[in-house]
Amino acid sequence: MSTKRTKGVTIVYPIVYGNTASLLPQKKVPDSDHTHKWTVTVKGINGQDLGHFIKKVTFKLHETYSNPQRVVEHPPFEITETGWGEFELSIKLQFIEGSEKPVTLYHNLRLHSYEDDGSISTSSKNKPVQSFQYDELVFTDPPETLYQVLTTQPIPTLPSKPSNSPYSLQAEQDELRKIDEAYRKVQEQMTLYKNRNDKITKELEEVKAELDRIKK
Amino acid sequence: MTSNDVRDILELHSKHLNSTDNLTPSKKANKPEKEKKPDGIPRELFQLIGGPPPIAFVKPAFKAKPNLRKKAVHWEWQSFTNQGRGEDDQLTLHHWVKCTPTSESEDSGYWFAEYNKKIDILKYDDEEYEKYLTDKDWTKEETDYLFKLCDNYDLRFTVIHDRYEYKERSMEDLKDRYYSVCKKLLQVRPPEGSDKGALIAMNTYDKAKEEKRKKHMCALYLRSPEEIKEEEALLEEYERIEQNEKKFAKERENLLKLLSFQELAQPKRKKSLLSGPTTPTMEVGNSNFHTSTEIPKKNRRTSASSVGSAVIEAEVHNAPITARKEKFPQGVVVRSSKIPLPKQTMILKVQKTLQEFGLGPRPSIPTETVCARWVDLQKAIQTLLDVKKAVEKADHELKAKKVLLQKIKQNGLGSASKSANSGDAGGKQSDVTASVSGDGGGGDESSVVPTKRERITLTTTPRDAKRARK
Repeated sequence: MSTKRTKGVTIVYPIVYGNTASLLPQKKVPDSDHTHKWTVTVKGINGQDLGHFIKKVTFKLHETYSNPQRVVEHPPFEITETGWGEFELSIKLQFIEGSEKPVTLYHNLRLHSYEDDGSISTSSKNKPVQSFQYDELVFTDPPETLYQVLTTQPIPTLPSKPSNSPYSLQAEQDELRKIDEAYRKVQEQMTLYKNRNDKITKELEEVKAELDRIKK
Repeated sequence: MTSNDVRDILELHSKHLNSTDNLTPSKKANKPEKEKKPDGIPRELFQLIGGPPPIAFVKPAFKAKPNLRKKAVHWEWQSFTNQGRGEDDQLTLHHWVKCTPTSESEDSGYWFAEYNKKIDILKYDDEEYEKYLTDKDWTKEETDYLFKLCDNYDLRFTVIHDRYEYKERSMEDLKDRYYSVCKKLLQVRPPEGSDKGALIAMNTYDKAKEEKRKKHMCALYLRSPEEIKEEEALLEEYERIEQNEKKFAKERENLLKLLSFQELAQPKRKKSLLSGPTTPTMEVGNSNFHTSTEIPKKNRRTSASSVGSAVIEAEVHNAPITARKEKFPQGVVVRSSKIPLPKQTMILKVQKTLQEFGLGPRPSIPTETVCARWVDLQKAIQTLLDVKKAVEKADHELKAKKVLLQKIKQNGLGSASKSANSGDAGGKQSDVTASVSGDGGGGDESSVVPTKRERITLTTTPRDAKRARK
């Protein structure tokens, strides 16, 4: 292959992908059973488009849609459709460098807003529903073309405070805190169980010894 | 319709007094002697002969009929000489030859002569011998003699060794000398184009190895049947041990994990909060001197012998994060897809535990640090669940033993030893798990079947025994 890889270099590019959905006003298309209009997008975390290193994006929708494979070759990488049901769709990103394998993201399309416990909320349906996921593309030893492109254009960094997007450094800290808290609790439980285990083994030894004694 | 038939239909069966069972057909019970006589022969004759003999099984052999269609072939008595014999030998023999219209004229060559292959062994002249082939143990005469024999007997060393009349030499000696001479000659003579290296390799003869091998073969052949059986049993044992090796290794790992988790204490927590968020910028992996020094420390941490000093552990906690950077393969990868999933059986349980902590099945912001911590957390949860299970099991065992002990104390020593035996016999390692069930379990060896009330015990696997012994 003609493109060389830059060894020892790792570039991390954060992206956000997901969908927004809004209820269609009923009067417009009375006989179709599509109730919602939704848009699936793949973007950078501050809304940047990814065209400088992504060649095309293939959205694979549910098979009941005509042409379920939708290919978008120029930014903005998004698909807008109407429908009535939620399903999982796959988003395949292909890079400008053909030798790099495409990566696939999976997203559960969300049309209805849900309460915390997972049940569908019946309150006001006027606000559009949003469901996004933050993720990072990790380029390890990127080939030259990608390296050039990714180093010339600035890579967005997480904003420190949440503004219009919910992803920020603070959110990351919160998550870390939660994880650490959970970890600590797990450790506590572990020590508890360990102590219990020690106690039990000791008792077991004693009882076994007694049984042996009785046997003899 | 005799009365017997009627009785049969009505299933009344016989009124004979000697019928033992109502259900067996009475005919058989009453008349063992009378056999139905065949119609062809008179009664007296039948009684003498005893009926037709039993059918003997003769396999139907296919008998080909002689092929009488063709006319007789003419054969001729011909003489021939065997080209395989030496040139001076003009022995004429005769044989029958089929006369077919296509046959060649007489004596076109004895068809078996082509099998008389001669091996062309290397020959040396005196000059070459003086230069390369002298040996303190072998005179030129003897070497010449050996080569002559080799030529005569087509390198059949068993024959050569038998006919060897010069000195007292073993077959390995002869072979050794022959092959070393050939090798030397090959090395020294100009290359012949074809694969010289292969030829040399073919002529290497390791005398010591050969002697050993032959001795070993003899010993193997002369083993007594007991020895053979013993060896097979040992092999079986070995294979079983190999198979269990994996199991033991896993258990060992579990133990180590449990121990190592014990020792990672509070100081680790503080340092981890200080190590701060890493913003997603370009990171050059190899310039980080941390990685090289801290990877060995990471290994130290996973081994059970880690000392509990706060400094080492604080540094060590950074190591998994920086070391993990190296782990991605070339190419693009989505961070969240790289989080290792727990074992199939554990996935749901781990997810439930995560839920209890208010976390979803995946981290919502999968940055590098978050993912690393996530993986740690997952592992910790898995270990915790394992430990929980082990503790529960040990607990059960303990309860069962306690109950057993109580029963023994209540019932006194007499019957107690029996029930103790029944308890101990389960698993043969004197370990039991308590589960009240009716069946006695597989390993219950006691010949005295204990009463249902006392049969609380079941067999265990060796693994539980190990756990209990811990």
